[in-house]
Order: sequence, then C-alpha cells, then structure tokens
Amino acid sequence: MMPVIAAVGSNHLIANEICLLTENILNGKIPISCFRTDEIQNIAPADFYICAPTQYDKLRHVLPSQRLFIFELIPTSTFFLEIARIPKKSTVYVFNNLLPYTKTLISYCIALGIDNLCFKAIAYENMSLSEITSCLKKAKYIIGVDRFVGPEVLLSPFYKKYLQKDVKIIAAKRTASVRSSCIFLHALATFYYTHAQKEYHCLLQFSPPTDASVLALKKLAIKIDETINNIRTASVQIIANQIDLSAKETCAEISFYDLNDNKQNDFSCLSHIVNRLLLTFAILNKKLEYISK
Amino acid sequence: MELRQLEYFLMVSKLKSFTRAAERLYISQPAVTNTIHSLEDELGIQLFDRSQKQIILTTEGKIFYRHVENVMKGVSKTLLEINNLKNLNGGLLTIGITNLGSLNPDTEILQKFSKLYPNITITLVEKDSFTLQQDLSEEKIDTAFFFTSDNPAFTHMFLGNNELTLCCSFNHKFRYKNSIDWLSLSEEKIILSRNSGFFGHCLKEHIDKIDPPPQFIFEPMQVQTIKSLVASGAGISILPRELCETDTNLVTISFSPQFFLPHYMAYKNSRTKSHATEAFITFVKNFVTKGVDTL
Repeated sequence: MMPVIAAVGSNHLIANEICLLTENILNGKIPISCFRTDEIQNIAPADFYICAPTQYDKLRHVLPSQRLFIFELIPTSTFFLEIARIPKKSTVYVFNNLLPYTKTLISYCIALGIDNLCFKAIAYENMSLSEITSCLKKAKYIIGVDRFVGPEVLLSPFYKKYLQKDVKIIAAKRTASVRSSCIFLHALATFYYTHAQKEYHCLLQFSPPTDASVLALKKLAIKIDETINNIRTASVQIIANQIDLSAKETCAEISFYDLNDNKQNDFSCLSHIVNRLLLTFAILNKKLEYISK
Repeated sequence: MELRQLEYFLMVSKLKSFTRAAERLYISQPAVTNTIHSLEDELGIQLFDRSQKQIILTTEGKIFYRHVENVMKGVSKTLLEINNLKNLNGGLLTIGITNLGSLNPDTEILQKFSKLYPNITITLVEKDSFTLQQDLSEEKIDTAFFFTSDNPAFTHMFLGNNELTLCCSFNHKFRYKNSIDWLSLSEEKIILSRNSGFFGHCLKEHIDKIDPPPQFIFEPMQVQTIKSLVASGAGISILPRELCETDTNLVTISFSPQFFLPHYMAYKNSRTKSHATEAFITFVKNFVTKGVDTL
C-alpha cells in the first residue's frame, strides 16, 4: 500500500526542493526519490511524479498524465514580510537563473501591496556577466529563491566577490500552492482509499472468518485510521507551509484503534469499524476534491 | 502554526475589533487576543496597531492579511472541517426540533444514531419552526426536523406522516366524539400560539374557514404547557396524536376527514458539511430507504 513517489526538476536543486517540500507535507511518512527531467525515462516506474510547471510539457509526453502532478512553487509569507521591511523607494534586485521567474516574484510582491520599491531583475542565465556584476556591485538588497541566492549560486565564490559587504539578501523559501498540493493529496488519498477498499472486499470473502482474517481486518482498520490521520494532517500542513515552512501542524495524532484490544476481535464488529472508517475516508476525499477544483 | 490562528487573524482584520471577532467566532475575547499574540510571536512581527481607538493593521500586517486571504480563499471552511476530523468518529452535531417536541421517527433516529456514533456529541435546539429555518439558513444548526418542505435552500427528507388530532379534557363536551369536523370548533377556546410555525404551516388554512372563528387563549409555545392547560379544562388544542394519546388526562379525537402532518428532516444545500453532519444525513437516508435494522 506504500506508493512510490518521484520528485522531478530541471536540475537537482529544483528536484531536491520539490522532494523536501513533499516530504514536509507528508511529514516524512513516505520516502521520495529525486530525478532530473532528462533522467526520468530510465527509472523504475512510480505511482506519482511531481514536477514544477516549467517541466510539465516535457514530462507529459513520456509519463502517464494521471500520474503527473505539478507543484506551483510560491514563496512563504515570511519572505514577503521581510521584503516589507526594506525602506521605501530602495532598489531591490531580484536574482534568479531565468528572467520569467524574476517577473513572477515581482508580481507577487506588487499584488501583496509591496509597490513602493524599485525592483530590478538579475537573471544569471539570460544576462551577460558584465551586466550581472554591474548590478551585483550596486546592490544593497537582493531577493530570490533560496536555492539561487544561497551558497550554491549567489554566495558561491564566483559571485560573492562582487557583492557589497553590507548587502541584505532575502531568500525565499518556496512552498507548493494550496491548490496544487491538494490536487496531489487528493490523488494520494484516492490511491490509499482504492487499495483499502480492495483489501476489505478480499477479507470479506472469508466465510466463516478465520483467526488470520480477523487479525488482517484489525490491521486494516488501524492502517486506514493512520492513513486518514496522515492525510488530514498533511492538508493542514499545506496551509502552515504557506506561512512558514518550518511551521508544524501542532495536533498529535493518536490512533483510535488498539490492536491489542480484545473487545475488538469480533469479525462483524471489525467489519463495521472498517466500514465506518472507509466512509470517513470517503468524506475526507470528497473535501479534498472540492478544494482541488 | 494552527489554522485557527489564521482564522482568528482574518476575522479580527475584517471587523477591526477583537471583541466583535470573538462574538462572531463564538469564543471569548481573551482567547482571540492570546491567539493573535502567539501568531505575532511566531512571525516575529506586530500585526495590529493597538494604540488607536479602533485597531488597525500595521504595514506588515496588511501584507500578511493579503497573503493569508489569498491562501485561504475558498478553502478555509473545508480545511477547518478536515482539521475537525481529528476524532474520526466524533464531532459535534446540532439538531433543531420544534418546540412541540420530537415526534417519531425523530426519537428513534436520534437514539439509534447516538448508539452507532457514541463519540458524536448531539445538542438539541428546541425552537419554533420559523426560527429553526432561519437558524438552518444561517448555519447555526446542522439539521432540523420540521413540518414543511417548501424552502428551496434546503434538502428535505420525508420521514412520514403524523396524525393531527383535537385534544380535550375528560370533562369537555367533545369527549365522546369519535371524530370531529373543523367547523365544530367555532367559538371554542383553542390553546395554541398563532405565532408558531406549526400554526402557520399546518392549521391556519383550516381555522380561517371557521365562522364565527374560535378564540385563541394563552398562546403557549411548549407542548407540556398546552397539554396541562387542556387537561385543566381551560380549552382544547390541536396536536399530533402521538404527543397526546399516552396522556391519561386527555382525550384525543380524529378530524373528519383525518388530517395528517408530513414530517421532514432538512439540511442546507451548502457544498461543505461537517463530518458529523454528513454521517447523520447518511444515517437518515439509510433509515428512510432501508430501515434502521439494516444499518
């Protein structure tokens, strides 16, 4: 019942970002592998592939579309709150590999009311080195995605030497948008629900029930209970991530069913419990579907 | 980080008042204030300027507000419902019943449902059916049992018919009648509220045709008060048979022709419902289509 999930990016930095994000949403309950887009055809098949919007067109030709999911990556609140502290009318350089995302970042800022700064783009893969260094030398404020303004690019020895000593760098931690996360979570919930339902129908074939089938049914009840809790926690974590990626959903999960509880050893009673859990799971799934649309 | 922190923050920002936000959220004002303080601590910023008479968002607070509003747009209610699935078989359910009291099969439904879902806390709200409809529209209650099915904003599940009878005391002149027609009530003293939904929906049409009309006295709303006054000989009343026939101080008489009151369970046609409400609706649907024993 454990799904295979692959995070895919144009490069390992982005693939790793998507991987960490997915692990964060799922609270580390499911292992996730990272791949570059150009590696994807040579790997073992996965149940879910998650990529950034820029990679979707390339991947949809080689992967089944029902298994391919986009994470729309957007900065968390804390990034914008830090930018809001920059003095009015300052020039703020937006550092990124490609130009389009610098424009996206600027538009996010303006949409939130941060419109009293002068934004200038530095797209290091689209601009000449002289243009880049000229901007970097003047910059007092630089903003950008953490992967690009951190030690791997901007703070690498190659660019660092052009920076002013007192330059203020604001790194955006990105998260997946609520809607794009929920589309994936809904698919994941459907995956678990379908498997649980199949397993339940198989167990109902045992007539009369055996000790083994009673135990299997009990384990199934616990598994469904845990899965519902995990999916529920993930849906709340998605919101917490929009504010701050280090924020954790605070509810401690306690399993409702005890494998050692002898009162719950009757097949029909267990069957009733599984039925109710599946109903709850279906309700949860319906709510996720509603958010995904 | 908790969803409720964001929910409270949005409400305080919109209403520009901790007190009014607390009223709207049905929680205490200190609870709202503390939650906002803890959110400010977590973010390391001040969200509100509290120095003015009316609280206002700080510059950073405004940016945070816009961001949170974008994030929660269209999903907040559903996410709160998902969050409330913590106790998967639990939850809260508020059910409205008319102040005439609960009839069968309502009581049977409630008894069986609470047995099947012992962790769902059910609160019954007894009000006039007009008020119940309003409460259901405003989502103050989750479902309601009442006698009409004419509100297009609700889904109505037909539960059955209850016979309406005339009830009188053992000393009343009608006591030996097997049946009675409406016109016989002319100039009688009727103990019933004309302001109740029950009267408006079920009886007005018949009573208005009686000439000279009966006299309405006391106009109580509670069924027990009506029955006590009828038993004392103060007047007669019109009530569902099952509410009176077991009362040894009252005589119940069928109308001619017999008069039945349809009876419904209703819920609002909103797209999202709590887990407990969904479970209750499913239960009632099964009850109506299959009967309780097959659940």
